[in-house]
Amino acid sequence: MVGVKKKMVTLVSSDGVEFVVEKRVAEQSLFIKNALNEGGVEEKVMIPIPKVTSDTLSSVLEYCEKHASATEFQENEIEEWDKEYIEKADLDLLYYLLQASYSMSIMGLMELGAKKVASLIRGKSPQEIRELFNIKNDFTPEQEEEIRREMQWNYE
Amino acid sequence: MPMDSLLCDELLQEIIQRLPPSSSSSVSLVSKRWLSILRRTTTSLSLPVPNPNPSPSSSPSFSSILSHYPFLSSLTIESNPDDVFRDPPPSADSILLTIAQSGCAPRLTHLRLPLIASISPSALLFSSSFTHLTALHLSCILPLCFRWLTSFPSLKSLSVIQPTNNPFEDSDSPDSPDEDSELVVPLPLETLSLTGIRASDSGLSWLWRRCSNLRKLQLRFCDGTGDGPSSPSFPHCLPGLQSLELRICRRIANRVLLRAADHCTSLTSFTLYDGANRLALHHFITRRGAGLHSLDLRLPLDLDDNHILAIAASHNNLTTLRLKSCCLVTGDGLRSLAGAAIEELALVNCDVVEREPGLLSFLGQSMPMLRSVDLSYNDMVADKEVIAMLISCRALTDIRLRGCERLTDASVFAMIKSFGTRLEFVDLARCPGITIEAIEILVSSACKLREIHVEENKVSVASQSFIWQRGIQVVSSFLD
Repeated sequence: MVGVKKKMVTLVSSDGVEFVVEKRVAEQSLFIKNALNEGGVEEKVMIPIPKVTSDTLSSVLEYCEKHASATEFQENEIEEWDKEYIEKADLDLLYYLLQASYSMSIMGLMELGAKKVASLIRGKSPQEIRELFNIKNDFTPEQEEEIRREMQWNYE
Repeated sequence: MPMDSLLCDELLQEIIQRLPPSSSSSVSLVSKRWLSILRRTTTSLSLPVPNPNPSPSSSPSFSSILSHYPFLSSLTIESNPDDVFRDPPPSADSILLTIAQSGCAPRLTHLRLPLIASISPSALLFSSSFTHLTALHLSCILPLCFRWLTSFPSLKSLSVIQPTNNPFEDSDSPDSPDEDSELVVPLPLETLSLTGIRASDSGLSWLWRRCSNLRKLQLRFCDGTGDGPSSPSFPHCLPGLQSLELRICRRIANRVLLRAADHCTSLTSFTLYDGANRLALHHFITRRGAGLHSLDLRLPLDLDDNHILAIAASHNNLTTLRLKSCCLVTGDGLRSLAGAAIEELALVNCDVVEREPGLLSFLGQSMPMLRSVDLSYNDMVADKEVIAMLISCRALTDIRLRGCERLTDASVFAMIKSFGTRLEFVDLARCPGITIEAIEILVSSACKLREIHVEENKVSVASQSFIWQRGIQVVSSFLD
């Protein structure tokens, strides 16, 4: 395929920023892949990505770029890369990435993000988790007591 | 910014599913939304025996707790030794019926009720909502009867543990004697594990006649196979068996072995712990030896070289041979297995290992397929013997040397040199001659190591960091 021009697509973030990327990179997202298949149009496609801002989208595309060429890397190399990638995302970006991975159907990114958030929750008290997620406690003390009793029972 | 609202239920579910069970209690108390998602993602639950008459204010009832978990597929009711002293004692029947009536019953695939209280066949018969249950674990059915199995159309695996000190010594037969006229519809059961069965248990005949689909049978601490001392229906379950296990069943070992020799035409795996005389063993091996892939024998006092020679002579397909405390077997017997395709060899506490210099080396050289070797509890075996074997076993991935008290670091170094990069499992517990430094070199160089059994005080700080890095499992509590 040397000399053949790479097929490009244009993605538009929710705040109107355009990203021109290779088709094979964009197709890491099943949502985009399906959209391209349905459209049948190969060139100069504009695909709006609702609910995903330009900051988030550029980070998502960084992930897609790496994974589109994943076959060129050793398995542990891509694992190492994933680890660093998700490590450098701050809490806000992490949520936005999760949300984007869900709406754009990027399974690998969703798993990566979910694992990271789970690791933040692990070992924390209910109050610490609420603070981390900015959640309001909507239990009455009586309800809390009841749940506590139920949870004394072992989970496997 | 309320981050919680950014995550839809599906995403929150993905996150909660990735948490260890220890986080469940924290997650449950975060908010109503988190609690309901936690309950929805729970598929496996382990609960204590519920209080028969809970005071309404203090704790939620058993049935209301079950109703919170509509997607359960596996449920265990954990018994507790204190349950015996409860007043009134817990009723296994009412627990079973409560589960049967709960919304999760049709979805359950695994149910374990290792209860102290006994369960009645009629309660089981009425539990007809377990339509997808594939595995059931019960203790103490009184009176012992299996006709209720017709209410469990998907059951593939059944385990029943009868108490050895059964107070109802002469329980009446719940089976009508005229069962010959009854149509025999085979049960879907493929795996059956029975503990504590006696010759006088009469409900077994009905079961054996319907076990034509059985692939795996385990009998433990059984004095009989029910149905009277001669147990005429028992052989009905044998033709399809691929795996037969007899543990501590001395009184029936000979009879079962002879029946198995005649009827178990599909058998590939046989385990015998204790019991069986020379003749029965010999008859069994000559009839079934050729089909066996796995043979595991512990303390059959009469096992000698002739039996091993019979295996070698039977065009054997053995890939696993495990001998424990077989004191009559000598090098002559074991040498006859040379060239065999054995992948797993255990000679645990076998005098021959210490008595015959050069034997281990011979076995190592003549069994090129060996992947797993267990020489545990040969407390007098010397480095020289073990090293001579290890240097020729280049395919080894698993090695167990527990309780080989005379071994020193030299054996560990030979292991590293010969197959260190392939090693996945190693047991060096109770080897006082092996030092903390040798363990350190082992874990640092064995890059595929998954699991090591060794005392905690032999794991240095440097070893610990390798163990963390590579996710190696360390087992430091030894029960036996």
